Amino acid sequence: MTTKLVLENIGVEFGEGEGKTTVLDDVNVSVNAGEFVAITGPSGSGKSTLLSVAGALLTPSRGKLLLDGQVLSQLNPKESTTMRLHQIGFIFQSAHLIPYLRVKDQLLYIAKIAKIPKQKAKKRTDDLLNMLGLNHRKNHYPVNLSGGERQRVAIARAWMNDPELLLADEPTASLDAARGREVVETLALQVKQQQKAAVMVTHDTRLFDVCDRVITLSDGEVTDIEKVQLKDPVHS
Amino acid sequence: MFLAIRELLYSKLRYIMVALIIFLLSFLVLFVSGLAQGLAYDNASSIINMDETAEYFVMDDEAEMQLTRSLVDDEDQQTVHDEVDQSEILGVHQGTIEDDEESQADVAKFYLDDDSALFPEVTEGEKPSEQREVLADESLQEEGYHVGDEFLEDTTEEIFTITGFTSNQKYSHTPVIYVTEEDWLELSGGDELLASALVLPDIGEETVSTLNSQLTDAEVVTIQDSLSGIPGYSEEQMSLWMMIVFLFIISAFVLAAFFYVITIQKLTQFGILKAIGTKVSELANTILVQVGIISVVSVTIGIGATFLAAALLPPDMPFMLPLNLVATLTGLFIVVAILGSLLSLYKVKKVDALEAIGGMEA
Ligand SMILES: Nc1ncnc2c1ncn2[C@@H]1O[C@H](COP(=O)(O)OP(=O)(O)OP(=O)(O)O)[C@@H](O)[C@H]1O
Ligand SMILES: [Mg+2]
Repeated sequence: MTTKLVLENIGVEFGEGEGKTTVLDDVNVSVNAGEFVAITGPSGSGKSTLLSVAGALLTPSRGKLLLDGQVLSQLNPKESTTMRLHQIGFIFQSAHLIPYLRVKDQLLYIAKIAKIPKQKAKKRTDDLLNMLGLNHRKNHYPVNLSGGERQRVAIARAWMNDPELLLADEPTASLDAARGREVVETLALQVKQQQKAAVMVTHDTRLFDVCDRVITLSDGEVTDIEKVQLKDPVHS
Repeated sequence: MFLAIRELLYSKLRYIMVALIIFLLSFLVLFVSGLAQGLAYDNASSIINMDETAEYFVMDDEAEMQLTRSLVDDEDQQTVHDEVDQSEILGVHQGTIEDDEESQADVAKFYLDDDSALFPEVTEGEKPSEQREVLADESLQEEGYHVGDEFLEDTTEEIFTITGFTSNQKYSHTPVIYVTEEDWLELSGGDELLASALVLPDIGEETVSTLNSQLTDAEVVTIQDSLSGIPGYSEEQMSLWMMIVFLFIISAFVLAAFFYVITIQKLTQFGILKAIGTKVSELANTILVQVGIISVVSVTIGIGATFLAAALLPPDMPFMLPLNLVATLTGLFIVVAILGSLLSLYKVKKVDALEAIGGMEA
């Protein structure tokens, strides 16, 4: 089994001198291809920060980040932007859609900057919107969507560039339990089928059974790694 | 383009306001330029038109470029003849004329060989062929003169006849009348034609400096430069062009401030775009395309409005806007708009994806 994502001795500190706070301290996480990992832990424990490091959005103060064997912690901003575009799909804690783009354009834009051919991009957009039950909202602007719909558009957007690594920060926060479960199961299935890797931050213990592993963060340290009994989410 | 157009359409009101400001500023710039140009022409069209066919004046070096004070002596005339094949004597003399009802009008009496290419075209009537006949600028018609009318000339105290009219021949805001060689000889008070200036074609820098070193009491100046010697010309032009320069500076600052505020408001969006993999160059391109579209559209409307306003102006109001000036000003305006957006580009380059996103959550 190949290792997709490796976080090695990651440390993150904010501020200088007196006001210095250590948010992550010596965190080691690795995710294999086809693995769907959940991160949980109390508010303020550093989950979002860890995800930002994994997504090449935040350069850690210490430690090493590898994606597909490539060291990411030493990339310049331009290189990490390219990395994010082609290898990483990021679902933020709030949807963060572009206000002036219609739902389908949110996805087509990713295709455009990732230089995916038009025909293919159209098809993928339709498929993703279908998969997330957003077909009837294709031509809506984000203002006219419900919170859950926005969250689903953000999920579709993160999937659009067919990333090797999917990072999701509480993607089900504004979805009802049933819909949330459905979305997470779909994501897990995709990850498995295409041998991608996914890390999801969640507080929802009911979703743990869909994940392969649950990592608990507390005060910036990994306190618990729980192996969830492997089961095929399709047949659950 | 993808983002640029979609955002312009989405935030119509905001960008229409920016466009409105660019439109107003460009309209003002073009209108004042038209007035400056019109005033220049109303003042000195006779000399400006000479600049079309010729390039240099040889003038008295102590005349401070004032044709009416300038006299090129025989010796210097000879020097010019030795060096340049083509040169024309230009005589300028300001004075007044009086009609039979004793009402006076200021004029500039010009002499040019009527065979030369510099001699203006007759638009009405005929070229003077005999002594005491003149070709006058058509603005003299406003004083009630017609072809065939007579007037009393103040220096010779003789009666002259207008045989024809020409157009766009003014000097120091007064109509020019072209007198014959015989009359100029008489006005010169003697036996040879006095030359206020010698008009030369484009003889090249080198010949100019040769001449300048050989001339004893005269110098070669470009016709363009000599305009500043016409009474009132520099004062009028200076004040108007000063306004235009300031309008450009104000435009630059206003636009910079506008674009900056808009960019600051959109910083979170730029952060998200960066986070999902948009390159800085693409964001810069988006901003520049937007600024380009807005400024081209508004300046185009500004040009249209300027010409419309010009058409509605009373005919005796001097206004002139040649297309090449419009093109220059338009280009300059768009450059100013783009310069105004540079600060925003810098800001966008600097924004950190994560910080921008975090900023919205807080
Ligand atoms: N830019 C920053 N400067 C200083 N401190 C920060 C910064 N970003 C995060 N922190 C701190 O790091 C800690 C962890 O933040 P993080 O957002 O990773 O928490 P979290 O586990 O995602 O919490 P939640 O479940 O509420 O989203 C918090 O205490 C926060 O105050
Ligand atoms: Mg968080």
